[in-house]
Amino acid sequence: MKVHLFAAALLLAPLSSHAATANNDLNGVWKISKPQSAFVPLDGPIPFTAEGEKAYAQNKAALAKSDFSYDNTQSRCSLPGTPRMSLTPMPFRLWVRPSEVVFEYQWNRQYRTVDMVQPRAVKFDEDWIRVLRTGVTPNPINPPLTGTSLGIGQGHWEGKTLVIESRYFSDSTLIDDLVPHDYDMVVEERWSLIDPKTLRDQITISDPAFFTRPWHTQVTYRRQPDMGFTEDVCLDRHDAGQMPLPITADEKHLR
Amino acid sequence: MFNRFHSVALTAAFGASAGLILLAMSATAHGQTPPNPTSSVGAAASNNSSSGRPPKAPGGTPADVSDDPELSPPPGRTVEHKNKTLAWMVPPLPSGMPAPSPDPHNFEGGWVHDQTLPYRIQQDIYGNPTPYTHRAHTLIAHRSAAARAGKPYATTAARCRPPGVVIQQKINLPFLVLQTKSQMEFLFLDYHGRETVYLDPAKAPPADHTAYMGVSVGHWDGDTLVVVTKGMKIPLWLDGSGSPVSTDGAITQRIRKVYQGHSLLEIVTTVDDPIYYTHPLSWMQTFAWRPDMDLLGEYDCETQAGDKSVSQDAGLAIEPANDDQ
Repeated sequence: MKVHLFAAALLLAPLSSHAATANNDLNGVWKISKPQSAFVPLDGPIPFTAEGEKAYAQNKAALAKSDFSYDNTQSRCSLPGTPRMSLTPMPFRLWVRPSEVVFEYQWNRQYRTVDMVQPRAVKFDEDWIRVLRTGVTPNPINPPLTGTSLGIGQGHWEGKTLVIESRYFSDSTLIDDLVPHDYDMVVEERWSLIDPKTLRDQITISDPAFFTRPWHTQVTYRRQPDMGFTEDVCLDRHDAGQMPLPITADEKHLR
Repeated sequence: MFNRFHSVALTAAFGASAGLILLAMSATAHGQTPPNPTSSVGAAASNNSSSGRPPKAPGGTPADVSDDPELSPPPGRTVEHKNKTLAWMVPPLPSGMPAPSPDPHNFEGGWVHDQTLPYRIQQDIYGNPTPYTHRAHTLIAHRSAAARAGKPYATTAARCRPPGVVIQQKINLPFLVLQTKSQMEFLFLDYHGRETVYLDPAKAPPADHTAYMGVSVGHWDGDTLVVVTKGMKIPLWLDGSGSPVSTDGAITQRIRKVYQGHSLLEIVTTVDDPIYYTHPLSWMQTFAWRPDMDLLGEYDCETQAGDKSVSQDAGLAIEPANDDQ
């Protein structure tokens, strides 16, 4: 049964939706409140499984030797992925629209698009390069066999909170500077304003292969003046001897 | 953790994009067709390039255009004058998809260049030969010779760097336009590219040759957005054969929404670069409205290009300095 979902979504959620009211406007430029390269779990230590602990220990050992081969972002400027992009030290812009939310990062000119049309009606093209809206449900999303760095995100509003659930991850990214994950990771993010100038991302991470239970963390951001981003080319910075992502003082994993 | 399946998928993603460029480079040269005039720009053009309107070419052939066979199609081959819609790349728009905003100043949404990629810009918008200077002739001849020798030069695109606004638009992958009152953002799937058009000049950074994409500043001329891009970091290629633009060149784009049975974004591009063109060069392209392609996927060429254990130039040759002399 064909359902014209996209048009229906636009009719039901006009541009002047609750998402864009003056007191709840997530649109704009944001920057992380406190630079950090690792997520701090809110509910005790990260609950690793044996496999997860082993992979984590390997990464720690490599980092201690400044061997970044375990980290494609630090060694090659690869896309950090979700949720690691939440730790970007550079500003990002949120574009909130009825049919999608776009995270536009200064870091290496990267971006992330999140589908807001319910129910989901998208698929990858046969080359797994383009994501296409089909306007038809049900349809299998046919994600790439190797997964994606950012995951495939589906968003919706719960009151004033933007909720995004992302799946279909590649195992080649890290959750942060050290914590690994597997293909079946699911990341839920809840984006909301604490006040008009403070944005919070509450993150829940699930991955049965690496964690015994879901665990939670959060990051806050401060609103920035409206600005365009200067061009950041990570490969050029890397060629010049800079780390793609700064290594902050809170390298707690190395204690 | 990096597995071979990931490398295959990334190779496919990177290779598909690079393949489009290589496919264009290996094809017989195609002419750039001035389409049936639907734009008032063609009819009302003046010689005042400062107005942003593409100037009419002077009559006759510019004095320094030679009959260099490097710049002409081989005997027995003809230059095709029509850009063809790549229907196989662009599936029919699903039913129920929305139309563009009725506001002529609102370009938001997904668009894609759904026509063939000309290997070389052989004609301007009026059907006149591309007005290359001698230095441009020399440069293109060297680039063509290198390609024929099996040692094509590494371009910014091959090195996973921003390729400039012209190439970025031409590649047959979708882009998304988002805008505020003070800026219009073009986000390209290819090379995860970005062009920021500052609609408030006070917010624009200096065009100081630190950005590959240069700095783009726009203003509205009625319902047409006029964007001027200057200050590129390095000289860039305009097409697969290496038609050049220097760092001192200016690229003007006149952008507007049109309807020709389906919604299009029409862009008339003018390159003003006295080093390589005897007078400003203009051409027109249209981009299809594709609201089904507004969810841009991932593009990660860095995983391969950033691998320090292999060639940083994708196995291509390094172009010598002063190759245009």
